[in-house]
Amino acid sequence: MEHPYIKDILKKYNKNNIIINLSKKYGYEPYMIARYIEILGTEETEMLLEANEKPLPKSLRCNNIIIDCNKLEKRLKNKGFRLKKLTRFSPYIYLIEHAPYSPGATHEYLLGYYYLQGPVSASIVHGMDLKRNYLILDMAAAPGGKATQILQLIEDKGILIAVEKNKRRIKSLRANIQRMRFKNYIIYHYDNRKLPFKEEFDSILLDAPSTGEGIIRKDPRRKTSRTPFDLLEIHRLQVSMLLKAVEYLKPEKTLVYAACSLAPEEGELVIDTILKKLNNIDIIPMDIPGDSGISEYFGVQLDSRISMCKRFWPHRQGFEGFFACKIRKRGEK
Amino acid sequence: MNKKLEKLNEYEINFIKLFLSKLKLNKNIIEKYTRGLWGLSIEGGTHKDIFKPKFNLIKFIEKYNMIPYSLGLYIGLIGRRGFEPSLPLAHELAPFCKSHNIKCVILNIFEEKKFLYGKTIILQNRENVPMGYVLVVNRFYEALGWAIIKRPNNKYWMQNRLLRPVRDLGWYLRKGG
Repeated sequence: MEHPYIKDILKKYNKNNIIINLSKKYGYEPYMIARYIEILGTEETEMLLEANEKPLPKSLRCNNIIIDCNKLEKRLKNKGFRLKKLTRFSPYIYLIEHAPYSPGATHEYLLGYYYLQGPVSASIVHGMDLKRNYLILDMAAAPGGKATQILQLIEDKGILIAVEKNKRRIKSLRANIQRMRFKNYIIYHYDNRKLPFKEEFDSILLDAPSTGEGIIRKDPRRKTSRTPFDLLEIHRLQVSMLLKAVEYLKPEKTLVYAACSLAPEEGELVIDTILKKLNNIDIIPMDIPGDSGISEYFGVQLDSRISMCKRFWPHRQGFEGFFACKIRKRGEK
Repeated sequence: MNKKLEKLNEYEINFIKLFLSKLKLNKNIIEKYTRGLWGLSIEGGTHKDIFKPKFNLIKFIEKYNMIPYSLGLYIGLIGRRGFEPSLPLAHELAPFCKSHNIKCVILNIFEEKKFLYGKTIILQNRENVPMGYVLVVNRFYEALGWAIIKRPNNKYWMQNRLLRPVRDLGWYLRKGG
């Protein structure tokens, strides 16, 4: 299933001189530049492209379940690290301003005292409804950043069901959950669209497989790794997963859809498709930083409720690019 | 490949009890960590992964009859080399190094670095460290992993001991995924 206008939109990615010049200057596929200009205008597009040229700042999330975060901060400072709290994203996230060596090689990391996670990624999990006795589903859980954060926020009480289809990535998921010493979880190696659950979960996270355009700063190959056709396939996959997520959700409960991408095809158009298909869901505002979802794209008017979704831009928020949206399933009347 | 999740039988539980008793853990602790154990294996596979899930996890699994990939506290595995304890189990038992005088070795900061690279360490003039399987901790009693202690072959080094890592925390970077 796909958005009714997505193919028309993908045909609108024309190339003019500005687009061609910017795509040559920064090394992007022209359709990506066309998209940014459509949303941001030319001037701000250049700011975005410049921001994407700088390396992504490193950050960590303290695991307050097994260590006091002030103690962790002190231990790392004694090893020459310089940290700065980023409380507007999460009370547990620290920017690593200076690292004498790889933050992934400290004894504290191996002891499970922290996870290397981006601030935007962490703030999205804070947008979920999480309670200690909840049954929670993470539909695309590997490598485990958000899964371990969910377990941390519910203090390892309740149950997390973590699903991952990729055989190679599921090993990291298991290792990270065990490294951080969580126990109230089950990992399933399954396709998340083929699970037998029906209205089972109190809270769901779908951090959908995406083009990963939001982390071009970390992996510049993503500037040219996908065609518009790939984007269409990913959009269809994301829509099918989100439809399933709504099926798995209990009535009156919420799910969070997220995609590490700046492409509306992976964000707003996915939500718009779902809102057109289902009449038993609402968009709920999320109390996290970020900009509003866009309401119009290449002349296509999107559902006005999508403005309650969140967008994160590398040049505005300063970190990963992301899209997130919170959906509530209505109860039966 | 057919996977199976089933309760451990008496023989398997006793196998693990024997290992824990050799660590000089008391009966209550051994009972705690050998109660409610489940094994996950693949048909024709070489080992069985052992987990200690809480009751609510088992209830969920039984409801949907789906075999998990991993769940709960990972205790270790039973394979061709017998029982191999896990890193999560090391974390669970580390506090008992201080309070219960179990078979533990405390490494200094230099030894700790070497151990986490999976390297064998010569414990100099440490004749009093226990032999065989030991839990390895640092000076803060934080678990670093599992090791086997042996006497060196050289007769001039009889006051030393060789500490060979079996599973150290560095495994998470080298092999963990």
